Amino acid sequence: MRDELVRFLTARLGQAALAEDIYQDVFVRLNTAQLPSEIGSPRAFLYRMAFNLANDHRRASSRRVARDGAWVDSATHSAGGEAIADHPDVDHAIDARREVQRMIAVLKELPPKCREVFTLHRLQGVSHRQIADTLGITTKTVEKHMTAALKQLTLKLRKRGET
Amino acid sequence: MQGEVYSLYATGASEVEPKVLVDQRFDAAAAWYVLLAGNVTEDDWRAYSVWLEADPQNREAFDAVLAMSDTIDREKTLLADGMRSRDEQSTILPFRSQASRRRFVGWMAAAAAVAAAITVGVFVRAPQVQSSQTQTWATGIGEHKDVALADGSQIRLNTDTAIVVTLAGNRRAVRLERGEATFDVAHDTARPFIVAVGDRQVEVVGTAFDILRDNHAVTVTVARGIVAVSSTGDTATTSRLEAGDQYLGREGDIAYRIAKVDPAKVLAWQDGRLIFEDVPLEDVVASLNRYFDQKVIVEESARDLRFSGILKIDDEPSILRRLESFLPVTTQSRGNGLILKRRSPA
Repeated sequence: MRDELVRFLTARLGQAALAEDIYQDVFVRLNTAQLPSEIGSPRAFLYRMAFNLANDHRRASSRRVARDGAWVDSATHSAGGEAIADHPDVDHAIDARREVQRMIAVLKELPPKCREVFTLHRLQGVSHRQIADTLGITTKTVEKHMTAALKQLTLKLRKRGET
Repeated sequence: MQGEVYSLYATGASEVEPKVLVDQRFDAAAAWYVLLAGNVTEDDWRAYSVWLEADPQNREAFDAVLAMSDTIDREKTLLADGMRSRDEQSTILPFRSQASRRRFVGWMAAAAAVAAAITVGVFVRAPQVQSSQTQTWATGIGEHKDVALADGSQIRLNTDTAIVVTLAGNRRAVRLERGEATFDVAHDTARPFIVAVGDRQVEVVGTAFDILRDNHAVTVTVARGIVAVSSTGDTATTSRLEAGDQYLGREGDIAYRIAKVDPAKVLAWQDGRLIFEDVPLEDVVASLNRYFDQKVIVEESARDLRFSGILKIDDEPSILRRLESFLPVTTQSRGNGLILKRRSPA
């Protein structure tokens, strides 16, 4: 199981050394965390924990990249010796606002069923099962719509230079 | 020839990845994300691992999907607001009137002619299970509210509306005291979802529908699925409604009628719009008065005017200004209310 998980983490993180670290983390947490009373498949559960920890790591490192970028920007401003007031928070809020507007534009271009499924699940918190029952479609179809919506959002909002 | 084609393709792949491959990669990344959000087996995890190993760019695509998903969660409220307000620029869009629907829409609006006087519904049954809990939600004039019930059902309240919800182990009961609400009911065959309104009750399994209680007139419009409407305590009068059916009844009278409507038009209030097709001005104003603090009366001189169009429901002065620009009418204040009268020809 160890090799399998480390291999999985290496594939997910792209670095073998990091994969070992996260693998250690999984077992530290296994000892300390509140585990659910019923675990269907222990192996699937270990995968799930490794997956979640790896995702957290990816999130943290992408935040770090963004923050370091912001720091370089403001350092450049002050090096210019001019009294330019930097408002990174305001800038960030404006960027976030713009991003939301673009996301809404992408969502509105989706086929109606796809848009409805996405809105119900991600914005209103309705489960796949309930959406399937209410709309008279299979949960597979719900997943298909969710995939299409998520893919369009990711592709259309990708910044240039990103994969 | 074949070699040429191959080398062209190879160049494309090494410098700029062909669009179709990028598309496939993100499709797979999103599909994995959606699948892994649910309950999966260890074989699924292994298959995901194999997909990641196949190409380092798969990992990056998955990270992009993960980041987008985080953004969606973070901006949920703004996104939901944005998805509700569509096409706000064109507030009045006249459209062709349909004669078949004319009488019916007029009837519906006439039922709303007097501001709602509220009486408590006849249907009040004590919950049968102790563990049930009763909660009340209400909106003021001009307000909307989204209510998420513990069972996963969603209720959206329109202006000046009150509901009482009891979730019990064997049934889910809602009483619509006044106003209008749209129900999106979570599927649960073991616990029927029953809405009591005046002396009618509406029973559903899992569907979406809208109920309006105004001046003792009860209107039920079904957007999806099937619902059963009956007079309280009298199942012999049950009528089954399907999507696009609208039930119209009056409290105190077991007679009812069922009409075919476009549910999207009835549910337009959710987007902050009201849709009228060749409706007498007086009836339009009666509908609008449900949203207004200062009630509007139509003067005799303007009663023969009719209106077709979509009105954006924002604030009272703006709505009246749009009516004035569309019809030969003008507003004057009188006492606590407003009078809409015909404009004298210039």
